[in-house]
Amino acid sequence: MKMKSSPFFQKGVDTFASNVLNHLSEGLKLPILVFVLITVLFLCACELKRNNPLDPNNPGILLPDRVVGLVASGSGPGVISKFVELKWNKNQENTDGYYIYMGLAYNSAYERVGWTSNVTPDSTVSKIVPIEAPGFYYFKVSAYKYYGNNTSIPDPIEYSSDFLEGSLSEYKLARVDN
Amino acid sequence: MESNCINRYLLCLMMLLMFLGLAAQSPFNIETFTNPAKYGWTNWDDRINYRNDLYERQKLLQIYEIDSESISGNVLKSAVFPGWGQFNARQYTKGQVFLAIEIAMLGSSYFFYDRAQDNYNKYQSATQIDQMNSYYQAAQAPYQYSLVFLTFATVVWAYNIFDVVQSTEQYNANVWQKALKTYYQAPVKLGPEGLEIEF
Repeated sequence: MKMKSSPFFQKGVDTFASNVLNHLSEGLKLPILVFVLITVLFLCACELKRNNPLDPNNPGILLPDRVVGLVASGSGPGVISKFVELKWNKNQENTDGYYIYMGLAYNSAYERVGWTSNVTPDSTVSKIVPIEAPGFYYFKVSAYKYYGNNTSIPDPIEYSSDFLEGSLSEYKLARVDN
Repeated sequence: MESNCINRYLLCLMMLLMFLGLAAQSPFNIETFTNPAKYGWTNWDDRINYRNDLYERQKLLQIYEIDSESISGNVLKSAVFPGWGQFNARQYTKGQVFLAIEIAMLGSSYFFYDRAQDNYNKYQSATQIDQMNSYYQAAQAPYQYSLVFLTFATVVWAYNIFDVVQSTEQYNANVWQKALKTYYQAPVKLGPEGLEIEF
């Protein structure tokens, strides 16, 4: 004796859910697959917002030009207060000053050792960096632009979050004699 | 005084509606109601067999309703905790697979999101253009991986909901078949005609 179970027991919500899902499985496989693929592609195309206030993608934010023409010359032998003198070409626009970086190897981490403003009548900017011990030192320079609210430009080290810094220059080696 | 008039009016209106409702009903046909041919019975034995069959089904239905699982209940369980409904439908491997995939997908999504967020925070506080670009790029790829894993987790979750319906249906069908088998293979049966013993 054979008995049919389905019409006897399917009822209410269960029947409705079952029918809907069976219908989905039979007729809508391809559309669902296409929907999933489109969703994945759409999500892959999603980008994070570039919402850093100093990002040059923002309107009105201009990136300072990269510093070129850097020359580094160390103090000669017998000098008590040793130093390195840096010279580079002055940026004509979008620059309020420069950061100076120093490292112990060309590919080492460079540490910021000073800054200087862009206010100079000459076409070159120079900066003297005091050195404690003789040796070989590597230098890089970058330009910055102030985007804070103050009318006068504040200290670029203390208020560095308001300064947009451009790309670092090529490194230059300076030899400081004993 | 005015309220009495309104009450009477409402009463009359209700009675009128009831009268119209009664008048609108089709007349009760006793012959159609009592015609045994509508059930497909051609003789007295058919009727007795049908009644016995119905009686047996009702007994089995009680067993079935105790052992069967609600589809909507299992859907809800699987929606809250993927694989739970499959566990309820005694499909343990499937439940474990759904649970494992969901944990792996969501875990990966969170891992990449966390990494992306870390780099994104550095990007937001960066002031040097090279660092800014570097951190942004470093945040972008994990962010997209995170979204892709989240999408797949959602797809698996949706499939888990779809699957739990089928699993529960299959489980319930098995319960019914098992109940039938157990009942018809039992040596002693209690029917409307008394005890029935098979040898």
